[in-house]
Amino acid sequence: MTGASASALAIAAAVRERRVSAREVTAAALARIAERDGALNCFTHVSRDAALADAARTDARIAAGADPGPLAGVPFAVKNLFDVEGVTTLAGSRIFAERPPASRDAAAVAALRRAGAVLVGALNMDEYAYGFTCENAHYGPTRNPHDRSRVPGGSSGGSAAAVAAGLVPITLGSDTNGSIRVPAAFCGIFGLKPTYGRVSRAGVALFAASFDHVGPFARSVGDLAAAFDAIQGPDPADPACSAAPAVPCAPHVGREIEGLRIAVAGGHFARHGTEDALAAVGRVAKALRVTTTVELPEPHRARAAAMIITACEGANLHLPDLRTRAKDFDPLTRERFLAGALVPAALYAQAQRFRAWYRAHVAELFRDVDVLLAPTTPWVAPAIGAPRLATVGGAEVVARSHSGVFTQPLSFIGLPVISVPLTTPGTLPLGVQLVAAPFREAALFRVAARLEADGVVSAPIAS
Amino acid sequence: MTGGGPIVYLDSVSETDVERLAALVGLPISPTDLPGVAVAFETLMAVAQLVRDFPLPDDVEAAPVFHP
Repeated sequence: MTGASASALAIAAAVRERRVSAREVTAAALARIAERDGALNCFTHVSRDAALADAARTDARIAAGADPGPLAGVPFAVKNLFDVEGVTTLAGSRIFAERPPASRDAAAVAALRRAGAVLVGALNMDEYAYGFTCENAHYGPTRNPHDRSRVPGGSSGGSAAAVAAGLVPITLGSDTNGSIRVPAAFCGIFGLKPTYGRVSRAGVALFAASFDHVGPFARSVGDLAAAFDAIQGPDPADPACSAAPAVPCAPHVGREIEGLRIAVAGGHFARHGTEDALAAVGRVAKALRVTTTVELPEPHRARAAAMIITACEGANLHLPDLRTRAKDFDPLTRERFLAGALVPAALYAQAQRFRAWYRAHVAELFRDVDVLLAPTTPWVAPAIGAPRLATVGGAEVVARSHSGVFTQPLSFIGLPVISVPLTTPGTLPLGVQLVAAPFREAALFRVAARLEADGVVSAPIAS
Repeated sequence: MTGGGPIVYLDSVSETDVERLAALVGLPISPTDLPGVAVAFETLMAVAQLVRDFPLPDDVEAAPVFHP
């Protein structure tokens, strides 16, 4: 139960039954991080002493007969844009490193701790979450555990790589345009971007507030559901957080999927990628016996509008620093942030109005469909330091932004999405997005669990 | 209907364009950053064409998160 392959649920059960102590589990996770993270660079901070102390407290509560929570003794780590009490929130930047340590945990971190999980550290990311590669000039690139010459995806690259390598079973990340789903796909694990407003962002450094979400990564559907259930629900401290009560998803893992109407997203989602990336959707569709294809309205414009809104909101957020100390930004984000500060307001307003139009039309589509299937990324993980331009589907594209070609039209209107991993020995992982109407995460968990049970998707530890 | 007409007329972006726009919003940009910012801004403007060219009914309003 102290091994890298132990699931969060198995660890929690063993800790609760006192077959292993939380301290032993935590010490083993810290040992794995010490042994492997030098080569991967997932962690920017390891809370060794605090983690061991937390674990000891969990053991003491169990010994005293108290309920230690559903994730008792489960080691977890978070992208370094989550506030962690006593640790400076970097958001991948050098500028934030000058700030004092956070005075309290982010809401999602506190929720996982209340569930009994033990925080072991903070994880690397693209600066201010503006990227899909986790190539960070200040803290170095995180490396993909499946091939260390390649990126893990971003911006939550450290979060995905740490789970894929078996350093911890659960991490948290954030997703504005694909920053949970892209690294989940490149690293061959499960990643959930919940409905916009389903999980509190209180205590999380924002990027583009219109689209900022937080969510979990895991190597199994059951672990993903347990982590999500621990963090979902209303929070008045986040102005975008929904007041709708939480809908636990763990009970849906293993439920039948008969009756769910599943369709493949065609058009935009059937172009713009490599043959293998597009074929991954076909593999999942075949396993689910799905034969229906539907087309979202104007997804390419949705992606464009997402890019405009992201550029404007991100630049606005960092404008004081852009004016006075642009040289301290990562070269991979600086020019895009500066450009975002120049976009005319009329374009931003038009993009936000288009968003309302798109939301209404996609809602019509979900009258006839419960779950959509779409590729997560247009390709497998690119090499670290890959050229700016790439060719795919006969078109030349900006490589770094093209990784979000299939994720951006979905997060643009806050739809819940699980990226499920397709892993084949000898090849790099790919992901497929399971997409539902807002607040219908339960349907996604039913489909993901069926695919996992049938062996269609899986997340073996990358050695 | 709105959105069909051009909002921005920049089909290509020069470093001089960036300098002028940056001056209007009080944003100093280092000469070494100008070429990269021009490329990034031109990319944004090209993308923006997809948004600005799409006609929207007048009664479509943005959906901000604001609870007074």
